[in-house]
Amino acid sequence: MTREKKQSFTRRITQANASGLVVIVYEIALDSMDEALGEEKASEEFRKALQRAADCVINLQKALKPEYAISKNLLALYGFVLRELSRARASGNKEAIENAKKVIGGLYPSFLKLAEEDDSEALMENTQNVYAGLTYGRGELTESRDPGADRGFLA
Amino acid sequence: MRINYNTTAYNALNSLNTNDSNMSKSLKKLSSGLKVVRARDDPAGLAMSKRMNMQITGVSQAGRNSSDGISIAETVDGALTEVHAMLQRANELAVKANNGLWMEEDREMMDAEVQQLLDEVERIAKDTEFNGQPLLDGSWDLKGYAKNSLDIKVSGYNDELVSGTYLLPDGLPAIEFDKDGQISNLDSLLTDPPVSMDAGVTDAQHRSFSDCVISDVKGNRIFFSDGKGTEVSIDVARPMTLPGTVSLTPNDGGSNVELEIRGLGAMTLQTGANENQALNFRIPELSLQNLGLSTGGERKYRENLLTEESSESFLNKIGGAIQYVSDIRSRVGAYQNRLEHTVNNLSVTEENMTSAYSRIMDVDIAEEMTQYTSQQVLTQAATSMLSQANQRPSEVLQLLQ
Repeated sequence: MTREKKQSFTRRITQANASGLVVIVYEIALDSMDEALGEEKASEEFRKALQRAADCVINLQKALKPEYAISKNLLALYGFVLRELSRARASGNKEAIENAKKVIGGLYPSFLKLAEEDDSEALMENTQNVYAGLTYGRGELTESRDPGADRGFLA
Repeated sequence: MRINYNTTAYNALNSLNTNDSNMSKSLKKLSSGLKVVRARDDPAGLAMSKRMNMQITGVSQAGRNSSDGISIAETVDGALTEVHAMLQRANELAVKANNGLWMEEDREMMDAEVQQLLDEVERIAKDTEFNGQPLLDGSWDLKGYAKNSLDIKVSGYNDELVSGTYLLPDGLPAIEFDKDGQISNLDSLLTDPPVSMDAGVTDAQHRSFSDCVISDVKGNRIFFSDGKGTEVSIDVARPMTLPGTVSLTPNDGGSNVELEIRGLGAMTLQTGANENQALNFRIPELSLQNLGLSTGGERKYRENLLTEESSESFLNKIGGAIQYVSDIRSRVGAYQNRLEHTVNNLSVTEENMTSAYSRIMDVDIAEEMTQYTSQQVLTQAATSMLSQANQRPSEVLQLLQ
């Protein structure tokens, strides 16, 4: 994963609420699977990308509360995805990655829709306020961060 | 698949709402920020929230552990599916090598492919992991070791052998190795009369394994079994110079080698809210040695297709290897069944809109299930979020490392 993508995801995590986090995990998983599809089967990057995708699905599975009926379906689907990712990692089988992508890609829009309707507060406290917008720096387009951000320590 | 609305459940919800106005207040709290509380949310699932007590907390943690176990089982089975395919291919090559008069170069080519497949199997054993923990390298198998001998290693034992300390009996012949590092005095070892691994001491720690014989010798591994299903195997370290001899005596001047058999090592999953509701999940090591395709760590001890004799030997051994993998998959499958049963029992929702948990093995079923579940997520917004949106930001940040 490129540094920019990591930074972008990190920023979103700091601003996310509970449902936003689910969406982010789904996106990291899909991104990692795409990355794996583009890599050579036996390469280290291929395995790392698949491992990251699997870690995302494990994260989703661990977060499930089993007392709700819908958890069983999600658990069954995550189990299938983990199996396919494990197959892909063992033998370089890219078709298995496609199968895994179909499941995660199929569930993603629903969670995205729910997150859009959720207006609860961000989970992380004391993070910097992010204002959308691009700042043209010398040779770069990044979000500007106020270097003098005061979190109250010296106050 | 059709989505059916459970009218009984909705009626129940309506009456709950009429009789208990607190229900709607807690509904609102649970919705945590969603603009619309959808009327079609699973009412039984939401009614669950009223029953807050320790047992539920314990049960849901146990449920999480069980679902963890299920995902581990899926990861193992996925990897083993591919190993199975590789061994099937090796089998095909072995059959080919055995049928026909081949030139040396042809044999070398077939063997090259076989050795590559075996390399892959070894890699998969080291590489398959869950949450950073390797799964197929023996870390999750029962542990045992020889306390007072550097030449002996406990390589395996089955569930029937009770944990404790066992003594290797006196009078076992010394182990002779030939120039290739294989145990050569098979005749004297395999015809030995039954022995007992007895402590001679009766206490809580020491155990006795009576009437066992040396049932098999493979490479540098000796198998003791009692013919009734209990088995233990030890690996004897090859001497520095081959051919050579190793005697099964302790290094510390004691009279017998002590084998420490511990029931530890298997993954323990807490599958119920109470003590003693634990499942010990054993995953044997996927090594070429355990598959019977190698008698040591180096390539020179591996089965190969380079000669007519070695091809015949390979063909005999590969069937056993495929069986070993099938056995691990059956064992893991059995654990998975128990865990699924536990997950189904632990769920305390009484009116389910969906059926009990079951594995999805097929891509087409997965696609259907995905469509169905994504619809469910939308129509049961509140419970979907309650069920899934429980991550901590720190956990998600970890994914980017």
